[in-house]
Amino acid sequence: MNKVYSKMLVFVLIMGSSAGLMLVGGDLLTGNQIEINQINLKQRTILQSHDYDLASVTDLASYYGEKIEVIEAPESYKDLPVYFYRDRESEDITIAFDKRFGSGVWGPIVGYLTLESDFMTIKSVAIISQKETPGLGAKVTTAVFLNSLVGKQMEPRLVIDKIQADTIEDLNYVTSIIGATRTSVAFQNLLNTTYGYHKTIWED
Amino acid sequence: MKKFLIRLNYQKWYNVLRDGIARNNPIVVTVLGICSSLAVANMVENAIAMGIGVTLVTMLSSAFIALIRNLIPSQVRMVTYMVVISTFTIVFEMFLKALTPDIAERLGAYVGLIITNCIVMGRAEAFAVKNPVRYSTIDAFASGMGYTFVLIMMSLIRELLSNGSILNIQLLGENWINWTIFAIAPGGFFIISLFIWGLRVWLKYYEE
Repeated sequence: MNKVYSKMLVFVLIMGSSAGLMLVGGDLLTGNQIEINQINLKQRTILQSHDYDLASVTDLASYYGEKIEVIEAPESYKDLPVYFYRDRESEDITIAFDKRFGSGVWGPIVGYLTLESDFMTIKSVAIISQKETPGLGAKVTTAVFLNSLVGKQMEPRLVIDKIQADTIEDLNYVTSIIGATRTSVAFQNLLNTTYGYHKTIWED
Repeated sequence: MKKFLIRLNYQKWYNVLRDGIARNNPIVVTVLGICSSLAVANMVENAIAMGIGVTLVTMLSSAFIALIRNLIPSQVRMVTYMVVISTFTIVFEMFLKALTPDIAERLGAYVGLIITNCIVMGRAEAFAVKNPVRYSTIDAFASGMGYTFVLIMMSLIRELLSNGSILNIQLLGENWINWTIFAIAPGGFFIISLFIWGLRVWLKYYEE
Protein backbone atom coordinates (compact mmCIF):
# COMPACT_ATOMS: atom_id res chain seq x y z
CA MET A 1 0.00 0.00 0.00
CA ASN A 2 2.79 2.35 1.01
CA LYS A 3 4.55 1.54 -2.24
CA VAL A 4 1.47 2.61 -4.22
CA TYR A 5 1.23 5.89 -2.33
CA SER A 6 4.96 6.53 -2.67
CA LYS A 7 4.75 5.95 -6.42
CA MET A 8 1.79 8.30 -6.62
CA LEU A 9 3.56 10.96 -4.58
CA VAL A 10 6.68 10.75 -6.73
CA PHE A 11 4.58 11.01 -9.88
CA VAL A 12 2.67 14.05 -8.57
CA LEU A 13 5.93 15.77 -7.58
CA ILE A 14 7.55 15.07 -10.97
CA MET A 15 4.40 16.10 -12.83
CA GLY A 16 4.02 19.31 -10.82
CA SER A 17 7.69 20.21 -11.24
CA SER A 18 7.59 19.48 -14.98
CA ALA A 19 4.49 21.65 -15.43
CA GLY A 20 6.11 24.42 -13.38
CA LEU A 21 9.29 24.20 -15.45
CA MET A 22 7.30 24.33 -18.69
CA LEU A 23 5.47 27.45 -17.53
CA VAL A 24 8.68 29.16 -16.34
CA GLY A 25 10.40 28.17 -19.59
CA GLY A 26 7.49 29.48 -21.64
CA ASP A 27 7.57 32.75 -19.71
CA LEU A 28 11.34 33.13 -20.17
CA LEU A 29 11.05 32.48 -23.90
CA THR A 30 8.09 34.76 -24.52
CA GLY A 31 8.04 37.34 -21.67
CA ASN A 32 10.32 39.92 -23.32
CA GLN A 33 8.62 39.63 -26.69
CA ILE A 34 5.16 40.03 -25.11
CA GLU A 35 6.37 43.21 -23.37
CA ILE A 36 7.80 44.57 -26.65
CA ASN A 37 4.52 43.71 -28.42
CA GLN A 38 2.54 45.61 -25.78
CA ILE A 39 4.72 48.74 -26.16
CA ASN A 40 4.45 48.48 -29.96
CA LEU A 41 0.68 48.08 -29.72
CA LYS A 42 0.40 51.18 -27.52
CA GLN A 43 2.58 53.29 -29.83
CA ARG A 44 0.83 52.02 -32.96
CA THR A 45 -2.63 52.66 -31.50
CA ILE A 46 -1.75 56.22 -30.43
CA LEU A 47 -0.21 57.04 -33.82
CA GLN A 48 -3.21 55.59 -35.67
CA SER A 49 -5.54 57.57 -33.41
CA HIS A 50 -3.83 60.68 -34.80
CA ASP A 51 -4.40 59.47 -38.39
CA TYR A 52 -0.77 58.57 -39.12
CA ASP A 53 -0.28 55.99 -41.85
CA LEU A 54 2.16 53.39 -40.54
CA ALA A 55 2.37 51.25 -43.68
CA SER A 56 5.86 52.50 -44.63
CA VAL A 57 7.19 53.03 -41.10
CA THR A 58 10.16 50.79 -40.30
CA ASP A 59 11.31 52.17 -36.93
CA LEU A 60 8.10 52.57 -34.96
CA ALA A 61 9.73 53.82 -31.73
CA SER A 62 11.62 56.69 -33.46
CA TYR A 63 8.58 57.67 -35.51
CA TYR A 64 6.46 57.71 -32.35
CA GLY A 65 8.99 59.94 -30.56
CA GLU A 66 9.13 62.24 -33.56
CA LYS A 67 5.35 62.70 -33.81
CA ILE A 68 4.06 62.37 -30.25
CA GLU A 69 4.98 64.39 -27.19
CA VAL A 70 4.37 62.57 -23.90
CA ILE A 71 3.35 64.90 -21.07
CA GLU A 72 3.37 63.54 -17.53
CA ALA A 73 0.87 64.73 -14.91
CA PRO A 74 2.37 66.94 -12.14
CA GLU A 75 3.75 65.43 -8.91
CA SER A 76 0.60 66.36 -6.99
CA TYR A 77 -1.32 63.70 -8.99
CA LYS A 78 1.18 60.91 -8.38
CA ASP A 79 -1.41 58.80 -6.51
CA LEU A 80 -3.13 58.18 -9.82
CA PRO A 81 -0.47 59.00 -12.41
CA VAL A 82 -1.56 59.69 -15.98
CA TYR A 83 0.01 60.80 -19.23
CA PHE A 84 -1.12 63.00 -22.10
CA TYR A 85 0.00 62.03 -25.59
CA ARG A 86 0.00 65.20 -27.68
CA ASP A 87 0.45 65.28 -31.44
CA ARG A 88 3.31 67.72 -32.08
CA GLU A 89 1.66 68.96 -35.31
CA SER A 90 -2.10 69.08 -34.71
CA GLU A 91 -1.94 69.37 -30.91
CA ASP A 92 -4.71 66.79 -30.59
CA ILE A 93 -4.42 64.88 -27.32
CA THR A 94 -4.77 61.20 -26.49
CA ILE A 95 -5.56 59.99 -22.99
CA ALA A 96 -5.70 56.39 -21.78
CA PHE A 97 -8.67 54.71 -20.11
CA ASP A 98 -8.16 51.57 -18.02
CA LYS A 99 -9.37 49.75 -14.90
CA ARG A 100 -8.35 52.64 -12.63
CA PHE A 101 -11.25 54.68 -14.01
CA GLY A 102 -13.91 52.00 -14.28
CA SER A 103 -14.68 48.67 -15.82
CA GLY A 104 -16.82 46.92 -18.38
CA VAL A 105 -19.44 44.37 -17.35
CA TRP A 106 -17.06 41.37 -17.16
CA GLY A 107 -13.68 43.03 -16.78
CA PRO A 108 -11.56 46.05 -17.63
CA ILE A 109 -11.88 47.86 -20.94
CA VAL A 110 -8.51 49.35 -21.89
CA GLY A 111 -7.93 51.82 -24.68
CA TYR A 112 -7.29 55.38 -25.81
CA LEU A 113 -9.55 58.40 -26.19
CA THR A 114 -8.22 61.00 -28.61
CA LEU A 115 -9.58 64.52 -28.35
CA GLU A 116 -9.17 67.44 -30.69
CA SER A 117 -7.05 70.39 -29.54
CA ASP A 118 -10.15 71.92 -27.83
CA PHE A 119 -9.87 68.99 -25.35
CA MET A 120 -13.59 68.31 -25.75
CA THR A 121 -14.43 66.94 -29.20
CA ILE A 122 -13.77 63.24 -29.79
CA LYS A 123 -11.36 62.59 -32.64
CA SER A 124 -11.21 58.82 -32.19
CA VAL A 125 -11.59 56.02 -29.66
CA ALA A 126 -9.48 52.85 -29.76
CA ILE A 127 -9.87 49.78 -27.57
CA ILE A 128 -6.92 47.42 -27.12
CA SER A 129 -8.44 44.94 -24.68
CA GLN A 130 -11.81 44.06 -23.18
CA LYS A 131 -13.62 41.07 -21.69
CA GLU A 132 -17.22 41.74 -22.71
CA THR A 133 -19.67 39.08 -23.94
CA PRO A 134 -18.63 37.90 -27.42
CA GLY A 135 -21.12 39.03 -30.05
CA LEU A 136 -22.88 41.43 -27.66
CA GLY A 137 -20.89 43.70 -25.36
CA ALA A 138 -17.74 42.91 -27.34
CA LYS A 139 -19.26 44.95 -30.19
CA VAL A 140 -17.86 47.90 -28.24
CA THR A 141 -14.67 47.30 -30.27
CA THR A 142 -16.37 47.39 -33.68
CA ALA A 143 -15.58 50.20 -36.09
CA VAL A 144 -19.32 50.92 -36.48
CA PHE A 145 -19.71 51.71 -32.78
CA LEU A 146 -16.37 53.48 -32.29
CA ASN A 147 -16.90 55.63 -35.39
CA SER A 148 -20.29 56.71 -34.00
CA LEU A 149 -18.38 58.43 -31.16
CA VAL A 150 -16.28 60.56 -33.51
CA GLY A 151 -17.27 64.22 -33.51
CA LYS A 152 -19.26 63.90 -30.28
CA GLN A 153 -18.37 66.08 -27.30
CA MET A 154 -17.33 65.09 -23.80
CA GLU A 155 -18.69 68.32 -22.29
CA PRO A 156 -20.83 68.50 -20.20
CA ARG A 157 -21.16 64.70 -20.34
CA LEU A 158 -21.18 61.97 -22.97
CA VAL A 159 -24.38 59.88 -22.99
CA ILE A 160 -24.55 56.44 -24.61
CA ASP A 161 -28.22 55.48 -24.68
CA LYS A 162 -30.98 53.97 -26.81
CA ILE A 163 -31.71 56.03 -29.89
CA GLN A 164 -34.35 58.72 -29.59
CA ALA A 165 -35.58 60.99 -32.34
CA ASP A 166 -34.58 64.20 -30.56
CA THR A 167 -31.08 63.02 -29.64
CA ILE A 168 -29.75 61.87 -33.02
CA GLU A 169 -28.20 65.23 -33.82
CA ASP A 170 -27.21 65.97 -30.21
CA LEU A 171 -23.44 66.30 -29.85
CA ASN A 172 -23.43 64.52 -26.49
CA TYR A 173 -25.56 61.50 -27.46
CA VAL A 174 -24.36 58.24 -28.97
CA THR A 175 -26.64 55.28 -29.77
CA SER A 176 -25.98 52.34 -27.44
CA ILE A 177 -25.04 48.84 -28.60
CA ILE A 178 -28.19 46.81 -29.32
CA GLY A 179 -28.51 43.95 -26.83
CA ALA A 180 -25.66 45.26 -24.65
CA THR A 181 -27.16 48.01 -22.52
CA ARG A 182 -24.96 47.25 -19.50
CA THR A 183 -21.74 47.43 -21.52
CA SER A 184 -22.92 50.67 -23.13
CA VAL A 185 -23.57 52.24 -19.72
CA ALA A 186 -20.28 50.92 -18.30
CA PHE A 187 -18.35 52.30 -21.27
CA GLN A 188 -20.12 55.65 -21.01
CA ASN A 189 -19.16 55.91 -17.32
CA LEU A 190 -15.59 54.81 -18.03
CA LEU A 191 -15.11 57.51 -20.68
CA ASN A 192 -16.70 60.23 -18.55
CA THR A 193 -14.65 59.35 -15.44
CA THR A 194 -11.41 59.17 -17.44
CA TYR A 195 -12.15 62.48 -19.14
CA GLY A 196 -13.16 64.19 -15.88
CA TYR A 197 -9.91 63.24 -14.12
CA HIS A 198 -7.69 64.18 -17.05
CA LYS A 199 -9.53 67.46 -17.58
CA THR A 200 -8.87 68.56 -14.00
CA ILE A 201 -5.15 67.93 -14.48
CA TRP A 202 -5.04 69.50 -17.95
CA GLU A 203 -6.68 72.68 -16.68
CA ASP A 204 -4.14 72.81 -13.86
CA MET B 1 -9.94 4.27 -56.48
CA LYS B 2 -12.67 1.93 -55.23
CA LYS B 3 -10.04 -0.49 -53.92
CA PHE B 4 -8.27 2.37 -52.17
CA LEU B 5 -11.52 3.45 -50.45
CA ILE B 6 -12.31 -0.11 -49.34
CA ARG B 7 -8.76 -0.50 -47.98
CA LEU B 8 -9.13 2.85 -46.22
CA ASN B 9 -12.09 1.48 -44.27
CA TYR B 10 -9.78 -1.07 -42.65
CA GLN B 11 -7.14 1.45 -41.61
CA LYS B 12 -7.29 2.33 -37.92
CA TRP B 13 -6.21 5.95 -38.43
CA TYR B 14 -8.99 6.49 -40.97
CA ASN B 15 -11.66 5.04 -38.67
CA VAL B 16 -10.40 7.14 -35.75
CA LEU B 17 -10.49 10.26 -37.93
CA ARG B 18 -13.97 9.55 -39.33
CA ASP B 19 -15.43 8.75 -35.90
CA GLY B 20 -14.12 11.95 -34.36
CA ILE B 21 -15.51 14.17 -37.08
CA ALA B 22 -18.84 12.38 -37.69
CA ARG B 23 -19.90 9.28 -35.75
CA ASN B 24 -18.58 10.50 -32.40
CA ASN B 25 -18.81 14.21 -33.11
CA PRO B 26 -18.14 15.84 -29.71
CA ILE B 27 -21.04 18.29 -29.89
CA VAL B 28 -23.66 16.36 -31.85
CA VAL B 29 -23.22 12.84 -30.50
CA THR B 30 -21.37 13.00 -27.18
CA VAL B 31 -22.77 16.48 -26.35
CA LEU B 32 -19.45 17.83 -25.01
CA GLY B 33 -18.19 21.40 -25.31
CA ILE B 34 -21.71 22.82 -25.36
CA CYS B 35 -20.98 25.75 -23.01
CA SER B 36 -18.16 27.20 -25.10
CA SER B 37 -20.00 26.53 -28.35
CA LEU B 38 -23.00 28.53 -27.12
CA ALA B 39 -20.75 31.36 -25.95
CA VAL B 40 -18.51 31.80 -28.96
CA ALA B 41 -20.50 30.55 -31.95
CA ASN B 42 -22.29 33.84 -32.54
CA MET B 43 -19.58 35.19 -34.86
CA VAL B 44 -17.79 33.15 -37.55
CA GLU B 45 -14.33 34.56 -36.77
CA ASN B 46 -14.76 33.65 -33.10
CA ALA B 47 -15.80 30.13 -34.07
CA ILE B 48 -12.75 29.66 -36.30
CA ALA B 49 -10.38 30.99 -33.62
CA MET B 50 -11.89 28.84 -30.88
CA GLY B 51 -11.91 25.78 -33.14
CA ILE B 52 -8.19 26.14 -33.94
CA GLY B 53 -7.32 26.70 -30.27
CA VAL B 54 -9.29 23.68 -29.03
CA THR B 55 -7.91 21.44 -31.79
CA LEU B 56 -4.28 22.37 -31.06
CA VAL B 57 -4.58 22.03 -27.28
CA THR B 58 -6.48 18.73 -27.59
CA MET B 59 -3.80 17.34 -29.92
CA LEU B 60 -0.91 18.40 -27.66
CA SER B 61 -2.61 17.17 -24.46
CA SER B 62 -3.68 13.83 -25.96
CA ALA B 63 -0.22 13.22 -27.42
CA PHE B 64 1.47 13.98 -24.09
CA ILE B 65 -0.96 11.89 -22.04
CA ALA B 66 -0.59 8.99 -24.49
CA LEU B 67 3.19 9.29 -24.12
CA ILE B 68 3.12 8.98 -20.33
CA ARG B 69 0.01 6.76 -20.12
CA ASN B 70 1.85 3.82 -18.58
CA LEU B 71 3.31 6.00 -15.82
CA ILE B 72 0.09 7.72 -14.66
CA PRO B 73 -1.28 6.22 -11.40
CA SER B 74 -5.01 5.65 -11.96
CA GLN B 75 -5.94 7.45 -8.70
CA VAL B 76 -4.53 10.76 -9.90
CA ARG B 77 -5.23 10.51 -13.61
CA MET B 78 -7.90 13.24 -13.63
CA VAL B 79 -5.61 15.67 -11.81
CA THR B 80 -2.85 14.77 -14.26
CA TYR B 81 -5.11 15.58 -17.21
CA MET B 82 -6.00 18.92 -15.66
CA VAL B 83 -2.34 19.83 -15.05
CA VAL B 84 -1.33 18.82 -18.58
CA ILE B 85 -4.27 20.61 -20.24
CA SER B 86 -3.80 23.79 -18.17
CA THR B 87 -0.07 23.86 -18.83
CA PHE B 88 -0.47 23.44 -22.58
CA THR B 89 -3.24 26.03 -22.71
CA ILE B 90 -1.17 28.62 -20.82
CA VAL B 91 1.98 27.92 -22.85
CA PHE B 92 -0.07 28.07 -26.08
CA GLU B 93 -1.44 31.46 -24.97
CA MET B 94 2.08 32.75 -24.16
CA PHE B 95 3.43 31.82 -27.59
CA LEU B 96 0.36 33.18 -29.30
CA LYS B 97 0.80 36.54 -27.53
CA ALA B 98 4.50 36.64 -28.34
CA LEU B 99 4.43 35.48 -31.95
CA THR B 100 1.02 36.56 -33.26
CA PRO B 101 -0.25 39.36 -30.98
CA ASP B 102 -3.03 40.29 -33.41
CA ILE B 103 -4.55 36.81 -33.37
CA ALA B 104 -4.05 36.59 -29.59
CA GLU B 105 -5.98 39.84 -29.19
CA ARG B 106 -8.80 38.56 -31.38
CA LEU B 107 -9.00 35.30 -29.43
CA GLY B 108 -9.08 37.22 -26.15
CA ALA B 109 -10.70 35.23 -23.36
CA TYR B 110 -11.35 32.19 -25.55
CA VAL B 111 -7.86 30.78 -25.07
CA GLY B 112 -8.40 30.61 -21.30
CA LEU B 113 -11.77 28.96 -21.90
CA ILE B 114 -10.05 26.01 -23.61
CA ILE B 115 -9.00 24.69 -20.17
CA THR B 116 -12.66 24.23 -19.27
CA ASN B 117 -13.61 22.56 -22.54
CA CYS B 118 -14.89 19.05 -21.77
CA ILE B 119 -13.68 17.73 -25.14
CA VAL B 120 -10.02 18.04 -24.18
CA MET B 121 -10.41 16.03 -20.98
CA GLY B 122 -12.97 13.74 -22.62
CA ARG B 123 -10.51 12.62 -25.30
CA ALA B 124 -7.75 12.19 -22.73
CA GLU B 125 -9.89 9.89 -20.58
CA ALA B 126 -11.71 8.05 -23.37
CA PHE B 127 -8.86 7.55 -25.82
CA ALA B 128 -5.37 8.93 -25.12
CA VAL B 129 -4.85 7.07 -21.85
CA LYS B 130 -5.40 3.73 -23.63
CA ASN B 131 -3.81 4.28 -27.04
CA PRO B 132 -0.41 5.09 -28.54
CA VAL B 133 0.69 8.64 -29.36
CA ARG B 134 0.00 8.40 -33.12
CA TYR B 135 -3.66 7.36 -32.85
CA SER B 136 -4.30 9.64 -29.88
CA THR B 137 -3.09 12.63 -31.90
CA ILE B 138 -5.31 11.67 -34.86
CA ASP B 139 -8.27 11.15 -32.54
CA ALA B 140 -7.70 14.57 -30.92
CA PHE B 141 -7.39 16.21 -34.34
CA ALA B 142 -10.63 14.56 -35.50
CA SER B 143 -12.54 15.61 -32.38
CA GLY B 144 -11.20 19.16 -32.73
CA MET B 145 -12.27 19.25 -36.37
CA GLY B 146 -15.72 17.85 -35.52
CA TYR B 147 -16.11 20.57 -32.90
CA THR B 148 -14.84 23.26 -35.27
CA PHE B 149 -17.20 22.14 -38.05
CA VAL B 150 -20.31 22.39 -35.86
CA LEU B 151 -19.13 25.70 -34.39
CA ILE B 152 -18.63 27.26 -37.83
CA MET B 153 -21.97 25.98 -39.17
CA MET B 154 -23.78 27.35 -36.10
CA SER B 155 -22.00 30.69 -36.25
CA LEU B 156 -22.81 31.12 -39.96
CA ILE B 157 -26.54 31.03 -39.15
CA ARG B 158 -26.28 33.03 -35.91
CA GLU B 159 -24.08 35.82 -37.29
CA LEU B 160 -26.25 36.16 -40.39
CA LEU B 161 -29.47 36.44 -38.40
CA SER B 162 -28.13 38.53 -35.51
CA ASN B 163 -25.94 40.92 -37.53
CA GLY B 164 -26.91 40.46 -41.18
CA SER B 165 -23.24 39.69 -41.86
CA ILE B 166 -20.76 36.83 -42.20
CA LEU B 167 -17.12 37.37 -41.18
CA ASN B 168 -18.10 41.01 -40.58
CA ILE B 169 -19.05 41.43 -44.27
CA GLN B 170 -22.56 42.86 -44.47
CA LEU B 171 -24.68 40.54 -46.60
CA LEU B 172 -28.24 41.49 -45.76
CA GLY B 173 -29.41 44.94 -46.75
CA GLU B 174 -29.65 48.02 -44.56
CA ASN B 175 -33.35 47.33 -43.99
CA TRP B 176 -32.54 44.04 -42.27
CA ILE B 177 -33.61 44.12 -38.62
CA ASN B 178 -31.10 42.21 -36.49
CA TRP B 179 -32.50 39.22 -34.58
CA THR B 180 -30.45 39.93 -31.47
CA ILE B 181 -31.74 36.81 -29.74
CA PHE B 182 -29.49 34.69 -31.98
CA ALA B 183 -26.40 36.43 -30.59
CA ILE B 184 -27.23 35.36 -27.05
CA ALA B 185 -27.64 31.97 -25.35
CA PRO B 186 -31.36 31.26 -26.12
CA GLY B 187 -30.74 31.65 -29.86
CA GLY B 188 -27.65 29.48 -29.50
CA PHE B 189 -29.66 26.72 -27.79
CA PHE B 190 -32.24 26.85 -30.57
CA ILE B 191 -29.64 26.50 -33.35
CA ILE B 192 -27.59 23.86 -31.55
CA SER B 193 -30.74 21.79 -30.91
CA LEU B 194 -31.64 21.92 -34.60
CA PHE B 195 -28.11 20.85 -35.47
CA ILE B 196 -28.07 17.97 -33.02
CA TRP B 197 -31.45 16.82 -34.28
CA GLY B 198 -30.58 17.15 -37.99
CA LEU B 199 -27.16 15.52 -37.77
CA ARG B 200 -28.38 12.67 -35.57
CA VAL B 201 -31.12 11.90 -38.10
CA TRP B 202 -28.53 12.03 -40.89
CA LEU B 203 -26.11 9.79 -38.97
CA LYS B 204 -29.01 7.55 -37.86
CA TYR B 205 -27.83 7.94 -34.26
CA TYR B 206 -30.71 7.48 -31.82
CA GLU B 207 -30.52 7.04 -28.07
CA GLU B 208 -32.47 4.08 -26.65
